[in-house]
Amino acid sequence: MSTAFEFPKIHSFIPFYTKQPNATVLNNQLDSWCEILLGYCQHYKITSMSPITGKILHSQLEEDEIKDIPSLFENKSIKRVANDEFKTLIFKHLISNQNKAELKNPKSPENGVIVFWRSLAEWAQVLYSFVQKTGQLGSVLTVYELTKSTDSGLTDDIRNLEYDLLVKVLKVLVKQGKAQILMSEDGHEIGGVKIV
Amino acid sequence: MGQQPSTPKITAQDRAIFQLKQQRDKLKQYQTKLTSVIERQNQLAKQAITKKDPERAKFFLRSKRQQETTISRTYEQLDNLEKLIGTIEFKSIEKDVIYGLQQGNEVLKKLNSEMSMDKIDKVLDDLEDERVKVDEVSDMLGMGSLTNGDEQEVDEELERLELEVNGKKTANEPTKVNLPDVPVDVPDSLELPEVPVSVKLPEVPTGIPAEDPSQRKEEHEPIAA
Repeated sequence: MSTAFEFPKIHSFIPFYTKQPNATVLNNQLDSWCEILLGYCQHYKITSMSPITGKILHSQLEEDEIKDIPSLFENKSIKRVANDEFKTLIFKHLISNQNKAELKNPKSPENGVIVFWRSLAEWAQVLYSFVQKTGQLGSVLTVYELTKSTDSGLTDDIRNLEYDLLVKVLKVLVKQGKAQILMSEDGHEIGGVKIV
Repeated sequence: MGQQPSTPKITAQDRAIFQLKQQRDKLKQYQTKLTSVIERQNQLAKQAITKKDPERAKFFLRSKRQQETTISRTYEQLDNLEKLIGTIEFKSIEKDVIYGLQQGNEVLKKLNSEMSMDKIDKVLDDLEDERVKVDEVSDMLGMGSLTNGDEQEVDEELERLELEVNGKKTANEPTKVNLPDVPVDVPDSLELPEVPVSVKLPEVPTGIPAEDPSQRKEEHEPIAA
């Protein structure tokens, strides 16, 4: 990733980092946070974050590129940082009010939230058109082949896609009658998929 | 349940390919692991050299060599797996092609059986019979087909119409005359015979030859009638 994400002006606004007491103002504040968060995640291809600490849990970028991603909840130039409680509130807003994120496991939020800067239906479309363009409709593909393999001609869109997100995307395709899932040998994980 | 689209079926072949592909993925992961091990051993060997411990360095290098041969062996296995996957996929496509050919063949057979020669003959005969009947009826009703005279009149009318529409013009148009093209490239210098510089002319006689008056006279003399 050569270019850095351009934070909007409000990201340098000091009161933006503390929870506002007025309900309407707070709602606006949370909306703005969510908007920045979605743009930020899209720019750095982040698919999951911790709703408690705001740490990046998965990005499709290479590891050395991930190191260079600036922090979202901290602005060093104005020496402000959102506290964990406020971060959790922002993620809650993103999940329940905007439907743009989902807890991986509702019982244990520390596992992270999946951020939908691209909706599941859009992801399904991306995946399907990749399989179609590479002439692999109707053949069995392994999860490894779809996300990790370096020699199967993966596009940047789906390379290194997070497993939890891939599972959700595949389930959308199954619902559309376009895919069938194959379990791996141990029977716990999805090992492969046949997309037609 | 009836509303839901049917999900694609996983066949036994799919399962076989899936398992092979999983093996392949495992091999690839194993290779990645070995590569990282090799890298580490290389570094360790370097460290041992800086610490002046050649025996240790040698040990790391030996084990690195070992990993490298293992990697090249896994490549062979990977190749085998890929080949097998490719063969299975291709065979299943071949199977589909043969199935398609069979289907096509059957349809063609069915169509051919519906078009036996006898049947076609009979149909054509029937058609002819019917046509004859139609002619008979129209003859009887005096609505027979056009006579020769009618046909001629039609031809004449056609000619007249043609004249009217474009005939006059075509009659007056001069026929095109084919003329040879004007030569496009003219040679720059026409090759003409050289003008002779010195011409040898016979010398002008100086003395006048003596005339033969008798001969001359004869010429001018009128012929006696």
